[in-house]
Amino acid sequence: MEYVLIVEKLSKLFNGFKAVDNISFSIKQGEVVGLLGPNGAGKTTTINILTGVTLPNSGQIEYFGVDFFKNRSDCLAKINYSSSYSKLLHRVSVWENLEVFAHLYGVSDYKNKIFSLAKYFDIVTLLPKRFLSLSSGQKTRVNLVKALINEPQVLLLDEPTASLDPDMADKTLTLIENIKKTRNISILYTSHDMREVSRICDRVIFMDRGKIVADDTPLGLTKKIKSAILRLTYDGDEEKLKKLINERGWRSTFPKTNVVEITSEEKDLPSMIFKISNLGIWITDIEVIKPTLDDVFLQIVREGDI
Amino acid sequence: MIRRIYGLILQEIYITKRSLEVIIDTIWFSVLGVIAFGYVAKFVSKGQSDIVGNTILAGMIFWEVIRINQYSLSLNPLWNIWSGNFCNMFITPISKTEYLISQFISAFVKSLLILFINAIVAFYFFGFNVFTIKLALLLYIVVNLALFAWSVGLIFIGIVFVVGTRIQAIAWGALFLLQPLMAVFYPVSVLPKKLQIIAYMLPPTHIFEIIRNQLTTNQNLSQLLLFQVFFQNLIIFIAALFIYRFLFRYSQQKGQFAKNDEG
Repeated sequence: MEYVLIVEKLSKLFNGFKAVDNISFSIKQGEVVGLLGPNGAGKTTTINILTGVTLPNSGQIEYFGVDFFKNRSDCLAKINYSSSYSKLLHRVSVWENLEVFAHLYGVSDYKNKIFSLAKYFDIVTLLPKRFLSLSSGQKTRVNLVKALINEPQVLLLDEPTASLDPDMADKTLTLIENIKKTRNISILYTSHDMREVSRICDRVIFMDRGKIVADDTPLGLTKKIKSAILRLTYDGDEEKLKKLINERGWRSTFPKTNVVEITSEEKDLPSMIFKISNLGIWITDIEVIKPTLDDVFLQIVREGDI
Repeated sequence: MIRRIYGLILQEIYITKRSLEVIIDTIWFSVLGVIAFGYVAKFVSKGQSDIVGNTILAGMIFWEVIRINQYSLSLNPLWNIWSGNFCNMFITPISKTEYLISQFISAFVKSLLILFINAIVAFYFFGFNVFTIKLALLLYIVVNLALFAWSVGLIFIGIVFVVGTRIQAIAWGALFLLQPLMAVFYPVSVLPKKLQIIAYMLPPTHIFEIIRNQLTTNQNLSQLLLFQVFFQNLIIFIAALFIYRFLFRYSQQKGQFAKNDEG
């Protein structure tokens, strides 16, 4: 599988502050990569550099095997961008806005293209309306139509579901999943919502303080956190259970009556259950809470690494 | 390239069509300005020949050529920034050159349209015919005024790219700072000597002198003078292009270019 984007040793300084610090990564054709990190991690600066609106201090960007900075127009013709924060001309109608972009991207048969995308995103009735008059959800869908108007091979999505209600966010994600399935587009996706990222991304890049601190599949990242939580609902002598926990030095909490949560490495969980049941305690329910991307995110933010 | 330039001109048409402010700033203010100055001209030339009045009226008509060109060039990025659409435009394959060509074309066409409307108004209300000036000279005048307006507009846009919209009011006011020096409504000779030196550094000053010369004496103009003024204008325009390119790049380096859409 060929790489559609290769970033090498990219750095950006703002008044001495390293917003992006020597990062390298690549994206394969058809791959959906999540770019995650806390506020100020450098995600948006990275996206801005990848779209050419901000210039880096150093580093290389290659789209489709050619140098981005030397072939800006050719590269930009094959990529597109959408963000919940970017808007179109307020007072101009949706159709007129899209028509302008169709010309800027040199789209052939643009009227049919706009109509087919408008149908796909269910915005046909919005085409004559002014962009200003649309709701946040409608604007997001119009932005996605704009982002697909040139049939991009690489799509940069910067928090596309931010400011949407859960229903509209879910619909937008479903649309992105459909795009992924039907169009074989490579997507770089930034978000703060870990469930979203787990749902649509093949790979996740974590950034913190301008650096890439992790780059793996969502499963691979969660596996890096060895511990899991064993949640047991039981019926029996609580004192005996507490005594065992103290003797073994297990990290535990009792969130409510007859429920205990023990944090430990996943591999130790079966023997724990065995030892507790040996006390004559009747275990009525067992739940293993595995780490999520949220836990990975929190660990990175709090400890700087995983 | 032509398709992208067409797209940008189309955007300009849609912005103009949908914005009452643009229509008022261009057509409304221009026509009313010409009417008001027409009556001033009528008043000051009472009991004398029409020459003084006509030079004032002509000054106003041709001042609008500069104003509309600079206004149009400066307002397009502002409309896009106000809407949050600015970066969207520059992540398409358009180049800086294509963007500028489209803006020069829109500004020039708008100014020609307004010149034509103002010429009709001046003729209908005050019997002043702009077209007594030979067509070739008229074209020379309009091109030179446009070229200078674009130079001012380019520097303004460049500064907006670097510092953001907090200086946006200059879009309406920049040229008015230079207006007294350009001797739009009076001969340069009425200015103090020291100011005359500065005034002659501005190509429009020569252009307005040429207009007055044509309306008052109708003498043949020195080809050398016409060439010198155009050359001076061209040098300023090329310098403005370099400043614009430098400020554009500087804004991209500082990260302000991307921040502009945030308002």
